Amino acid sequence: MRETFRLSMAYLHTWLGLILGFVLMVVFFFGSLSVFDREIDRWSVPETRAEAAPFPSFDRDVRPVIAQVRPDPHSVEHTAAEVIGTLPAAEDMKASDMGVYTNHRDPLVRMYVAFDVPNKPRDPLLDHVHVYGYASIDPQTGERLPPDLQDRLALGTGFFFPLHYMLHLEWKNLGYWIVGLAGMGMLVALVTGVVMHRKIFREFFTFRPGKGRLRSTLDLHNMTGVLALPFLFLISLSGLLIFAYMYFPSPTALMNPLMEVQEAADAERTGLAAEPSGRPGGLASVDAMMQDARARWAANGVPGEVGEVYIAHLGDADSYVSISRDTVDRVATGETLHFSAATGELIYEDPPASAVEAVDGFLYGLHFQFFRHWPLRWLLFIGGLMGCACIATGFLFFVEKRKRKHAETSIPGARIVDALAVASVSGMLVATCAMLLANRLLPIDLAGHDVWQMRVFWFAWLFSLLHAAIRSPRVAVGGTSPAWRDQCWMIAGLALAAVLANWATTGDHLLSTVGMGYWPVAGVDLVLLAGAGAAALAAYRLGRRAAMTSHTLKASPETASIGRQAHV
Amino acid sequence: MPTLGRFAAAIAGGYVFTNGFVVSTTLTGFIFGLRYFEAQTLAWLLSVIVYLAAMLWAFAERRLARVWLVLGGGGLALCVGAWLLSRQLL
Repeated sequence: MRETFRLSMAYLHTWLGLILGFVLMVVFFFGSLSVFDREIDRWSVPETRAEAAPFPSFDRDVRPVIAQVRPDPHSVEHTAAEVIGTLPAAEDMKASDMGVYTNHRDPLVRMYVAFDVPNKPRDPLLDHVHVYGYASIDPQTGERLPPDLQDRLALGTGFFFPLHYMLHLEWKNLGYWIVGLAGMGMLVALVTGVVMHRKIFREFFTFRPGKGRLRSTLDLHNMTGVLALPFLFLISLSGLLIFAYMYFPSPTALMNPLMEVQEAADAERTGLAAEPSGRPGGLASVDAMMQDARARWAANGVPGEVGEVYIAHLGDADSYVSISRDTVDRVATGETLHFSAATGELIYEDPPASAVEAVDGFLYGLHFQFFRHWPLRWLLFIGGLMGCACIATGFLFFVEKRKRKHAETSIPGARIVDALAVASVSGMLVATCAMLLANRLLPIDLAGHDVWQMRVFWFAWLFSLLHAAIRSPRVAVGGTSPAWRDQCWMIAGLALAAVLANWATTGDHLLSTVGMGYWPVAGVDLVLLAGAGAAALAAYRLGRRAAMTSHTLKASPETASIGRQAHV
Repeated sequence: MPTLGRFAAAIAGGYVFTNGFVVSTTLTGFIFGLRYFEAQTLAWLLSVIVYLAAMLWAFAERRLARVWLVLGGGGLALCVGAWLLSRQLL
């Protein structure tokens, strides 16, 4: 649409980045934290600070719990909105399927039970509507976790992880769609970013920290973008693919009859019933099936532990048990054996993945990161943070490039973008650290303990936006907002306070956790301290620079022509 | 507001086109011998790349009407075609 292809791509890069960058910042930052979601869970629910343990006995520890699990009120509420008519009472719902899983980083075995509801869904595309109930088991003791502990908000898996993929906007799944659009925007920004820079390999090695704000910001934006390009592209792509079935529902929407026929044909071929028969059936020893599965994996040269057990059609004659090998040794998931629930005999073994399934499984596993490979896990965490740095420097470049011109012509654009950038970069960190601190300081017996932590998070974030807006007038005259410095000090203070509060409330200080080698908690504390140090350093340097430049604000003739041709 | 029109064509037009691509690729793969659900996985695997390409093209193409015609019209045609053909296979 512009004069040349390159100019239209530059135009797209600038404006799409500006609009979606705020969402992408959230997605990338909380995605990075989710790489260590289990560790953050341990930190935020100290009662569960234990070593990970292998899958326990199903027959002794898991099986008695199935009948105890009741529909979760939150799930009942969610499903009630999805179906026509009123749901039956929770105690009348019948359990249909269940799954139980653990992972090499988890000291808990988690299980869910799906309950059938007779109601028809409002959306005819939802062919199976369920209500879910949950339970957690301590594999060390075989005991079910008490309900107050099980339902406690774990900040990693319970808050930061869902924030990463759906922004806690449940209404009409709006959060999923916003994140999806932002993910597409990230891919567009990556491609257009490459197109608009012809000297991409030279920029890879270019960083001129002394050459003025505009130059160094752009260099840093290019360097993080190019260095992490393969990672940023693959992580955005694989994240979108997880929800592709939801984003592009055309096959299910338009070819449902054909799909149902094929589903039945697949069930016929594998012997795994798609629907229950309606006749009652028993459940043989699942421990024996797990033993059989381990023996088969060992015989196939891939010895391993059970990662997940899934039972379809509980109590039905056609019920079957699917047992999956844990995923410590590979990226892709899968490798499942299916047994008859009634007899315990093997019905079907997943065949080796086809090319399509192998690529799909790899991308899926790359995003969920169930593997046991700590250097790779840290690399993915750092890659995510580089994505954040790339997005943040994009904002800064947008502001730096325009603020002088906007100051001359009294346009508020640069000032508004700068305030929003402050809130979405440093404000997000302020909110996160405030939430971690609140998690340690709010008394456990406080009514609405979980809700108060969330309130602290959202209000701290809102406060950071207001603070950024109030402190932004200096941007309107071509200067730098002192909000950046203020909020860096806040981050440093809150992160340090969170580490101290963890020590004060649990006794787990760093000497003890590092000494014991309990890395889930030591790691969170160390990252918080590193973050506090980095924030304090940034605040100090911003303060020094502000003192140096405050009297020479109008003097520096910064080269405003960089990239001008490409930016409109 | 040429910018808004361009974004609408890229996002909405590209979305319709991608859905058309996914449903027709699933069906084509199935007709040419892939298992149905494998063909569907393949189509979804490619969906994001197709949407990306459609969005970029929507900004590179000079005539906005043509963007709407190819992405919106083409996407709808693929959807209707796959819908009709899938019923013939039952």
